[in-house]
Amino acid sequence: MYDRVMLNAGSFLHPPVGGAYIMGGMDRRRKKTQVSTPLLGMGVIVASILVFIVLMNLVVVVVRLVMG
Amino acid sequence: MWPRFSFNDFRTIAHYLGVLIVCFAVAPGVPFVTALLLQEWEPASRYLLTVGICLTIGTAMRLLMPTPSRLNRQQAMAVTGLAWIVLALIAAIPLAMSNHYNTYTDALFDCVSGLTTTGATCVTNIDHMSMADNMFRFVMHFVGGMGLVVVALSLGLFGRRSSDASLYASEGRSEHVVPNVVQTTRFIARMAVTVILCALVPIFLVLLVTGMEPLRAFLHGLWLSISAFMTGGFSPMSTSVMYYHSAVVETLLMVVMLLGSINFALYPEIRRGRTDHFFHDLEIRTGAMWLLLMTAVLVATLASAPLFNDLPEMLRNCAFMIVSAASTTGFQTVSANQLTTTFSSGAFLVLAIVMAVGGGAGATSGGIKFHRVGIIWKSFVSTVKSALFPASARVVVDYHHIGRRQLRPEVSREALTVFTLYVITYVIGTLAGLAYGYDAMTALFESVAMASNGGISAGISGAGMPLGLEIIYILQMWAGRLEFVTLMALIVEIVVSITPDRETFSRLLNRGK
Amino acid sequence: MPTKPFPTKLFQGRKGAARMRAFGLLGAHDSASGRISDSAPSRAHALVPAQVPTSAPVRTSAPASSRAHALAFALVLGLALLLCAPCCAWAEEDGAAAESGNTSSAAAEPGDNASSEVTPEGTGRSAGSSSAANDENLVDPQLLPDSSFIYDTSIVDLSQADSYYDGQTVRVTGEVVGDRRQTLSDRDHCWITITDPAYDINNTVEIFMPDEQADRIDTYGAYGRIGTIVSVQGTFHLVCPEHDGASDVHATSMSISSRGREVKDAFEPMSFVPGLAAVGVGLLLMLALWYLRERGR
Repeated sequence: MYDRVMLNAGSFLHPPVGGAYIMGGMDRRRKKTQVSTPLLGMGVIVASILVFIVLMNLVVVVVRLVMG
Repeated sequence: MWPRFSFNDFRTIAHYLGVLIVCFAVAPGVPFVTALLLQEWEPASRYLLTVGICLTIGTAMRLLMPTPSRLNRQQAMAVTGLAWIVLALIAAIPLAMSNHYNTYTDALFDCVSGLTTTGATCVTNIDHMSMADNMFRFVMHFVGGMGLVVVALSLGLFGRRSSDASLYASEGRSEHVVPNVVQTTRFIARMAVTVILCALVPIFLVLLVTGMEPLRAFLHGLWLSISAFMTGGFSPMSTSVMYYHSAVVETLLMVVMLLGSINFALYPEIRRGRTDHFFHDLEIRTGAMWLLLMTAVLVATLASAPLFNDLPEMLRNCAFMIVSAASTTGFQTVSANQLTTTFSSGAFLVLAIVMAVGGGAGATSGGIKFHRVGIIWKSFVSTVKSALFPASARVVVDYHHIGRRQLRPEVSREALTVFTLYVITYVIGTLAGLAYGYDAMTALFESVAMASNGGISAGISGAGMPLGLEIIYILQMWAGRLEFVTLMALIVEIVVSITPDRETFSRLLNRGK
Repeated sequence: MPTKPFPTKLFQGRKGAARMRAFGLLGAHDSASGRISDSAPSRAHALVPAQVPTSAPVRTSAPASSRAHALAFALVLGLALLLCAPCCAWAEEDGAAAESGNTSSAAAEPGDNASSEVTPEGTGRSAGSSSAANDENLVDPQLLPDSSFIYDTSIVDLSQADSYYDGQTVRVTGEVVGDRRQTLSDRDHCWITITDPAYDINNTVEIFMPDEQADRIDTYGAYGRIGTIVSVQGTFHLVCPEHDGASDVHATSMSISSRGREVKDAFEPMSFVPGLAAVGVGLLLMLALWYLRERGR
């Protein structure tokens, strides 16, 4: 059953490679951004969401000023 | 030739439904404990009765087949599809017995809305509701947002040898987060609890500062966090998020809503430090562009309205309503009355479209989802490329989702099928609303809110709504949560199983002669 | 009866000519030096009935100084009357408005009785219209665009309000529920929520009120508590510009209609019996299931 789950998961993600892709990561073509801890990773995401909310508000200001 | 259920299949399905119902007994157990702690005796008696009913009915159904066989794919689909409605029928019992619902159907509507994380409500006098009853509503959001099957799988309730993958896929979960399904479900549960507790702390502090009692501040913070991450939309007070009059609370809730609408498959990558998967993901990019575009359109349509056209009002409300609609949460900083009287029809329609498209796949949000919108766009690009390039050229379109993937025809077909089914459901709900005499725009808005599990109400759904419309909306919420395919397959299978086949039919006819 | 002679000497000489001109008896073509043509006396005679004898002597003219005084006095009196008329009219208009205002405020002043049927607007209108009718004043002050109406309105109406209600002074009565929330930007004010006591649907209104008014509220409605019933008067905003678009009422006054009270949720052991029975049955069935599974192995 484990094999079947792995095969299903692998074929879902990347046809030729299978489950190995999930574990190690096969994409070495570009440099990855490495973040040291899970907390920092989540912090980056939360910060980017906050920046995005600010961006949305900026869009509100710009469009409102343009519309007059 | 459609596959049919045999009597043994029904017994197996009944057994596993019974397992889910017994597991669901924990859900009314939480408000029972809450009621005992806060000395709310009348609610405590109701929830104790509900626990007993869950144990009795669930075990009785399990007794239909004490030693079940392994679930096959069709049976798994039936279990998943029926679980939502069966659990909602049981969950409606304690709410119907409270004085906050006019009819049992109203309570059922609320339970389906809670479990499917829609957020529309038919409750009356919610400001006098007990803490236990309110707790139960948000427990339903938690269980439903996580996915009933997901919770059961994470607890290993279906046993180690049952068909986990089929159940998981039937739930509407599009992909595995980590290799093992059980690990996936446990990971999702841990993520959810972590985010909810992290959001609870700042919200609790802000509510304390505004002067709420500590217990009420804690419970409201907890409930709002659950509702935001599960993109549910229930709120403890009748005026939704407007009750708190706090821009800080609204900003915190926006962050949590967006976290809840991110594909859970990205979270392990984020935890491992590979944040580039997040920033390069097709859904994230599609979603970001979509939200910015629709914010601009909403502001442009509101600028021409007689009211609600000042910059401070737009800054406070536009971004929040767009995020609430896109994540299909359903929190409102604009009341239902303001939506229909002060919002221009264009702004109204923009919110409906944003809800219809929904949030991220593999998360708690509903709607068509960014993933499908992105796939449909990519298939459009592929079609145009095929038309431009010579016939002998092999056109390859790829997209990024935890690695580079090629756009395959079956993926495009699935996206287009579900997209079409969503649109058809929106139209059917609109026609039903029109048949009951409601305004066209309001009927469309409400239908989209139900089928996309958005829950922003324009005033149709509520205590006193027509019974027929209520049932239609319940079916829409149910279908939207299961993303149609599971539900339709289930309905077809049941109908085919009940209807006699040609041979049996002719034998019956001959016997009659 | 003897008649007085017509004083033909009045029209003789230069002054007589002037008098004749004044009475229209002397045309423009007649002599400006005062020489009266032969036709003048006949014209003067034409004014006089035939029976008037001419022989009786009559004192025909007053002294010049007294005439001047009389003329001056008449002029001053006329001017004074002219100036008094608008003043009187203005005074009358103010009096009518004050009268109607007194009537409406007297009617709106609580008697802390939420079920009062007095409609201040109607009373004010009738007072205003009656005074307007009396003064023949065509402008009814109650209809001026800058007047704000004060009238009882229900929470249901406000929760379904359209732009007609925006900016109106309203008076709503309801139960205080939830919490008192302090505004962080304005420490002297707070938010309270009042709900329709009918409880049929979730109709509530957010009230922005000064702290000293909110201090008088003793109970906030929740489970097991009926909150204070209050009557709040203030300005309703459909989209409040001060509060970023929220629908609210800025309270100017508040009165307590009735105090809050507890609704006791007593512990009744018998109410737990059905639940315990159901749990017992469930556990028995689970035992049976376990037994069947064990026997099946």
